[in-house]
Amino acid sequence: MQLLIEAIGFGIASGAVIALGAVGFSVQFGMSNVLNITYGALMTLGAYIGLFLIDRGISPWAALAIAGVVVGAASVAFNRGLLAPLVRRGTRAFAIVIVTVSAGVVLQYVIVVFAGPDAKSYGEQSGQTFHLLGMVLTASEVTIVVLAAALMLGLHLLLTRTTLGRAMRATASNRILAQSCGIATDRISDIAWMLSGMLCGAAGVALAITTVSFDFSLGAVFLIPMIAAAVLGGIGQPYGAMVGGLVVGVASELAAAFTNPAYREVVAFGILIVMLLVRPHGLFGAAWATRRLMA
Amino acid sequence: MGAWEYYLVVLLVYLGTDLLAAWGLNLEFGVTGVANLGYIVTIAAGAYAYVICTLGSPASAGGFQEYVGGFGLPFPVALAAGIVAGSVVGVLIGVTGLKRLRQDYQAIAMLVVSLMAATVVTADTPFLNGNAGLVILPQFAPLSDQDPEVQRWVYVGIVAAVCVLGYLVLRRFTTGPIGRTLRAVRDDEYAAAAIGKDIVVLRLVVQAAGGALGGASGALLVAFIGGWSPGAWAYVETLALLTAVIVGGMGNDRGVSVGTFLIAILILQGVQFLNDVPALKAIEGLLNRPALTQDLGWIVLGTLTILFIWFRPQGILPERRPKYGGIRG
Amino acid sequence: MGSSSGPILEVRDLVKHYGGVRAVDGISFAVERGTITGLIGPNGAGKSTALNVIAGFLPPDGGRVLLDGEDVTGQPMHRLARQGVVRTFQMARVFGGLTTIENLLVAAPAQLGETATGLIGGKRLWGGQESELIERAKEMLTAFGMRDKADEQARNLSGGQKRAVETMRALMARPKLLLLDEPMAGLSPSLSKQLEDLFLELTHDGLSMLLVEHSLDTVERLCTKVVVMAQGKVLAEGRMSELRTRREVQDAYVIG
Ligand SMILES: Nc1ncnc2c1ncn2[C@@H]1O[C@H](COP(=O)(O)OP(=O)(O)O)[C@@H](O)[C@H]1O
Ligand SMILES: [Mg+2]
Repeated sequence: MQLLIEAIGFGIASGAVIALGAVGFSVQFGMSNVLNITYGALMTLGAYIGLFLIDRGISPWAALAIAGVVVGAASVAFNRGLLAPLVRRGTRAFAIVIVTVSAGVVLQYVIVVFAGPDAKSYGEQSGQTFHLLGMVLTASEVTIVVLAAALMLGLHLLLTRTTLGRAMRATASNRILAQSCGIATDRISDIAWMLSGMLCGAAGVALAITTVSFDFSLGAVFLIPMIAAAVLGGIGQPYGAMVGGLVVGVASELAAAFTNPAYREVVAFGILIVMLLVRPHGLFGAAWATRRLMA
Repeated sequence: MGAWEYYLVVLLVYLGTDLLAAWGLNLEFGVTGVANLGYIVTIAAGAYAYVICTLGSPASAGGFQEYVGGFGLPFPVALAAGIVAGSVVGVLIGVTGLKRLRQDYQAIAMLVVSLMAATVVTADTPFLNGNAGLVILPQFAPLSDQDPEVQRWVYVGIVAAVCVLGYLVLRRFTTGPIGRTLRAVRDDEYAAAAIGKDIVVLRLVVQAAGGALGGASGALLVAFIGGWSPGAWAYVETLALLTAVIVGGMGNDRGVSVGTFLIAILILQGVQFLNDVPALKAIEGLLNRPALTQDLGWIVLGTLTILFIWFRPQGILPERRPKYGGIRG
Repeated sequence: MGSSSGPILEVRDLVKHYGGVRAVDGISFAVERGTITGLIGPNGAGKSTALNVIAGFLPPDGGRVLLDGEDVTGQPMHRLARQGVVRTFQMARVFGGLTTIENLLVAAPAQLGETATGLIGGKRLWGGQESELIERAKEMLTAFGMRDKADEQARNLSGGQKRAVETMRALMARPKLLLLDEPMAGLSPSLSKQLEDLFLELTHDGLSMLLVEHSLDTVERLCTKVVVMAQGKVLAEGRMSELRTRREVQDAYVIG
């Protein structure tokens, strides 16, 4: 019983980080319909930018914000400079995936060349722990859960309460229609890539804060759980991705606690495969929506 | 055998096994349009199947490594087992594309299969000795000839023979009516279905054939290098093969062969070779970065793939289609 | 298979939604053997959706599709194609990497070169059949005035040429029922006229067609019967000459 509750606690902490990344992935994918595998390496980039800043005495939370902005900008540049032109030329979907896989590998090894292949750490975090309903969480874990919830709430307000949010949702659901209604869809798309990159970079730093140590494979390891969470929730549905993140996080930790710790990732792999085969439109999406994507 | 002669043998064996793998991936990806990001798993399956077929039972070797099976079979049977294993795994990976998933979803599903297989094999030590991998003892089992030099050259001959055979099988699939049909499936699966092509069956047949080539590649490689572990088949290895296909020319068997030569020999072996250059070793030592050239190798490969998709998506030797004559004919 | 007396295609209460949109909302009609039935209606009426469901491209949300009296509802597209139901797409789809003539050849049914024996036996098994197919494809290209484009890559053809390739490809598949979604769009007037003649000729040989078409004059010349759709429903059915005078049909077109 104690093991179960502890595992759920770990799951919520890692689920919050997965949710951050998954929401970003989902927003960008829903908007552009480009399956961006480079997202994992961008997350790694965020973690290393955080490291660079923290090594220079900047506080982890400021580093998280700065890394978010830098990765957001990188994400926009990546789309503008590489993906959007390829999509415009009619490059087939599988070629785009290969471009994003390749770009991810390039970025990952560029990071290795500059930062080295050995494990890194942000250093010892404050030792204070919180006990909550039998779960044990460190101070930084609690902060990250709260921060994730706050960012999600912010995103929710942005999407539902502002003109920009309405324009974003309109563009995601029907780009051509949105364009004919006078929405500057290119700018909206930039904003979506920016937001997605910011969440990605923030998630990278958050992840690095909560782990003992990390290396250049950090984003590659977390990529599949994030995609699994996004697909679970239904692509382009931020709230679905949040729930998906928590489900993936908790399920992974339960598997790690009760079977083999090495199977932590297998849970996310399994969820993603099963979802792709059985309900590619997600638990909360409508079947016809993906069919339109297919046809 | 001099160092250079030995190096040549190694190069030839690598080239042969890489060719088999690249042909298989080209059949799946270049010809049929299935971006199999899990292709390396078919190679791994061939290698593992070969190893557990040649080895005796785990206890017979003193139990220093754990694995299922251990059949003590001769080289040709173990090679055949590797080919079958690659084929079966190819079909299993293909099943993830059975549902009419979008091309990019399909690619991701296959990538996940690759990651999942590596995780499970690494974690489950009793299955295939986990992260440490398996070693073939006695080393270099295919021939009992005593002279290692003769053995090695005979082995180059065996690899060459399998390559010739593999190429003939490959051509059966990539030319003629079936090659045309597969390319139609690649270009537009819905239009292909509308004229009566069963896309699922065609894809699975291709996965079986491509997987068989991958299995042959893995079995021949492991017989030569004598060991196999999860480190040898990380998902990025598929990327190296994909680069060869894209650079050489998707859908063009000869182009892909050229691409494989360029990538496998010039770049990857070049990287290995650079490792032996004293000046570079000195730089690596100075920076305390032992694997720097290898990291640079991945950067070059990824960049090359992107550059080709951007500037020359048809590759060095573009796909060529048969001509049936002008106005009269 | 089936009876040869009743209609070749019968659609009963067919329904297809997209989320809240009832794109096809309970339509019923039949296509008689050896005739061309027109399916017309304003943009967004649900004609393409109906065709997609009949052809097995989309699963229906209700209703039945009968081919030769046999229930084929929800069967996948390739299986229907093998039973002789071949369709074209509203947005022409060609195999861009193949040449024009290959686009035709690939559609031929029961090719020996695609079977396991053909794969093992090689060219001496399928070579003869292939030469016959090439001859047939060349004849068809000549009939469509595209003989000189035979070896051109299909992705380099113009929009109208692609549409013509799609129609030729459908014919190469030896269909008994053709489902055509606006086959004349983008074609030159002279080629459209030729195509009309060809379609009429083919119906004399027993081919049946369901034709979605915008030009009412074309429909009037070709179709023995016309089904008018609007907002997912069948509005009227009959000969074009009668329908032209009907009030609800005129309204649908004006409002639509
Ligand atoms: N893939 C789709 N997703 C959502 N709505 C669709 C889709 N395809 C068509 N529709 C809607 O269904 C209705 C019928 O469309 P369609 O069958 O294309 O009409 P037509 O061919 O008669 O012009 C239209 O309102 C259209 O907007
Ligand atoms: Mg239409």
